[in-house]
Amino acid sequence: MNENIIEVSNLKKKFPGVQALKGINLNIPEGMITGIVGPNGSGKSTLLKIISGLIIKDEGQVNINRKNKQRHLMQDIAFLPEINHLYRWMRISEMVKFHEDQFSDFSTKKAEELLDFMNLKLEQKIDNLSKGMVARLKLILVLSRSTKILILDEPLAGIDPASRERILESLIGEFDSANQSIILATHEIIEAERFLDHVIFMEAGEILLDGNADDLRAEKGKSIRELIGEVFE
Amino acid sequence: MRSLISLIKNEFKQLNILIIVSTLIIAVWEWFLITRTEHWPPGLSFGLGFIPLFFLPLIMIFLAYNSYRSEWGNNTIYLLKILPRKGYEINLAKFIPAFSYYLFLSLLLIAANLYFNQELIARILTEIPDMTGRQFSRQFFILSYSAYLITGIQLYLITQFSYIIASFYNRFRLLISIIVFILSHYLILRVGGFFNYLFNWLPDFPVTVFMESPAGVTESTIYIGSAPFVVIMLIMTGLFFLNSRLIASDVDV
Repeated sequence: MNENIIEVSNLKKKFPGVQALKGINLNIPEGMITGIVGPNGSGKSTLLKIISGLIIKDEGQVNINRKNKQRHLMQDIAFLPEINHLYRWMRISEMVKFHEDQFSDFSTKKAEELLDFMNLKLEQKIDNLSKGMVARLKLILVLSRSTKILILDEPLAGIDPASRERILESLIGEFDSANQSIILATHEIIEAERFLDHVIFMEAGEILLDGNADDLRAEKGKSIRELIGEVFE
Repeated sequence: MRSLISLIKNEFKQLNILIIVSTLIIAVWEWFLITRTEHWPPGLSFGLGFIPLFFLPLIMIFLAYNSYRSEWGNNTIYLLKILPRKGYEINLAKFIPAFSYYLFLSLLLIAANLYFNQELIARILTEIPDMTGRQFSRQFFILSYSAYLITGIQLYLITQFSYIIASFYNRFRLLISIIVFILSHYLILRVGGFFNYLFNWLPDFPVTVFMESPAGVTESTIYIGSAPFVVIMLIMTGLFFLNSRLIASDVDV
């Protein structure tokens, strides 16, 4: 039985006119790939942003790596937001250098290897990259860090199938289950299902189903994709 | 330290165009005034040469307002917030390039104006008594320039604070910024006035002044309290750390 890398209890967050999270309780096991699935507006991104320290919770508790001090733990978390958060005026080489300067656990060598694998060139300007290329670059920058927790918010959204496959290949290829845990919010469950060890189903700020992917498949006799269809009906 | 330098370099790169354009505009303005020296009344070109000094504080307001607004607009605020850096480091990386820009351009402007009007300055200095020479000029220059720098810092930090407060709201951000900007000035004046009493024990700056009358020029010394300088610097330091704290820990993205 894996220990929990993240423990969330009674987590609440309200935005003007909407209760984004309604007292969520969940545990994310260490050394696994956890998928958070749910329709738009279900609270997935809000949950991930609170865990990553990007937004402030209204109520509840979030323990990361058994500690409760958010800002001091940023070194342990690599967060990939859904949107393009990179400086567009930079070249890829400058962005890699910026990450090398900012994160002590960042490996430039690993970034260069991944850039090569993902068909990206150091001299390319970020502003000139396509959406798929930006998504690949963001993932490379996250995977080049050796952090305990990788939080990926919709890493496959709006990406062409060929790029999706490459992204997932690198994600799985670089995943070190002995030292890392991945939390992935995604709509693209068809591609991602085979990699998920743990699945959390969310809707309207609540958790509908939460469990080990293999146990859920065995218990319900259905694939995760089929289960999603059933849960969200 | 390497991470802070990297952040500062990053900000400088974003200011490059503004620095180049401003320097060129100032150079063109000074060059234009030099060409008019012969044609205009004595001293007019010299006086007009300082006009850009009034625009630099406005540029500081623009830089401060945009310091985090551009990060929000480009979504790069995510990148700043996920860095394992403390709020004051991120804010310092924003402040240092803006202040360097202010310092560099204002000094450049003053130096250029003094250099190109050496003849006029020399004539003025010979027309007034010897005692009003270098010592008086230096005191006057240092005090005025210190006040000018403090004004720039104050405008920058208050504008930045106003934008950060406005970013807590989803609507009417510009209006909220303006209101907070005005109220902050009032509040700082009141708080500053109160703290001023606490620092009354600090020594005063002696400043020599000269008065011209039909009887001739008389010299006297007036004393300017150092407490207001100290108090405003303390308040600005507090505001800097408050802005840093708000950005790092309290503002949602």
